[in-house]
Amino acid sequence: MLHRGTGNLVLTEEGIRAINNSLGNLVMDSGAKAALLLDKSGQLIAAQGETNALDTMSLSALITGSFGSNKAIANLVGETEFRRMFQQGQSSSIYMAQLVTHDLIAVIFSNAITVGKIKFRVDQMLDTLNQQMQAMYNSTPEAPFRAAPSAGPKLSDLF
Amino acid sequence: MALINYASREINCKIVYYGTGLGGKTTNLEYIFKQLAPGIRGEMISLATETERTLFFDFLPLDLGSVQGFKTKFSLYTVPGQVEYNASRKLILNGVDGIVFVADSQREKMAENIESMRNMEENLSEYGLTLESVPYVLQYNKRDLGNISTFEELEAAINPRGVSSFEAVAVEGSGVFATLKAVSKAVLNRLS
Repeated sequence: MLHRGTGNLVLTEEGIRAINNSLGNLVMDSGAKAALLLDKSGQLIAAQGETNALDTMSLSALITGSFGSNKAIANLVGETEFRRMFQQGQSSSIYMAQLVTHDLIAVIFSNAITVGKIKFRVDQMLDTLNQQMQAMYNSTPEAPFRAAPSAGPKLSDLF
Repeated sequence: MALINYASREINCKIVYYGTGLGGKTTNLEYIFKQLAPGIRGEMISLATETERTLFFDFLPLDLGSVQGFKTKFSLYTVPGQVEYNASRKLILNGVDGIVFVADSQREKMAENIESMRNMEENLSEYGLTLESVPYVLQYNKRDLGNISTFEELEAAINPRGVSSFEAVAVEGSGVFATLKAVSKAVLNRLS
């Protein structure tokens, strides 16, 4: 399993633009409501589509947790992991897939669209997203908090 | 492992509240949720059993505003403290940036505190992490109860590294924000 340890994931402007393009194309081509890219710790990397009405932070935490718990189920039936998940609702559904970096893509779509179409479009996009995320992991981290100690007073104001 | 987004100038960090069952981890998050304005915190999600024991995790997103020109967001998680839910605890530690270890101050809980600390180190090692590599603070909770260990006894038993530690009565909010502030600072400092 790929672990990042203490290394931070740095999303460069160029990298995030490429990922947003991929997710935007996926939403447009599939007719889905929204597509989210989540890192395996439960944080949102990028989202495209109708995301204003969505609590994307909570969705990210719950989808990642759900994927993790399903890995334990997979182990119980002799699988290493389940790389795809599908949750069907009455009017909307979610299709989720895991990248080679163990990050996740989640596509929310109306049930007017078949899951087969979503799966096909996600599969088409996975190679591109895999490459884009691997490039991101290989990018050189910058230190955004060079004057971090001065963050102290700001935190005191907040709490 | 913080997520640093240079496009939106955002930093997302994950803080996990760890410790024994019924030690007060969820109570910490509930107090933070109640005290902070909705603009600063999101909705709290609790995946709990019918008897209010944490089954999988609690989750509370915080938006700390702009720090050093970056919008800073923290995701607070708790783990289920019950011994049998170790798989969940391990899962939630994935990508952790900072830890609050909530110890139960009651004398009869000392052995459980020590075991929970050992279990935390073991689970961190699964991700190649140690208590030297992840910022963490201690909270000695339930200081209002009668039969409790002294501060010095707790320090000797579970704080050999001498990290920041706080006495708390989480149910009343005492010590809750001091703990959160300390771990937040430690996490942000680690990013430098």
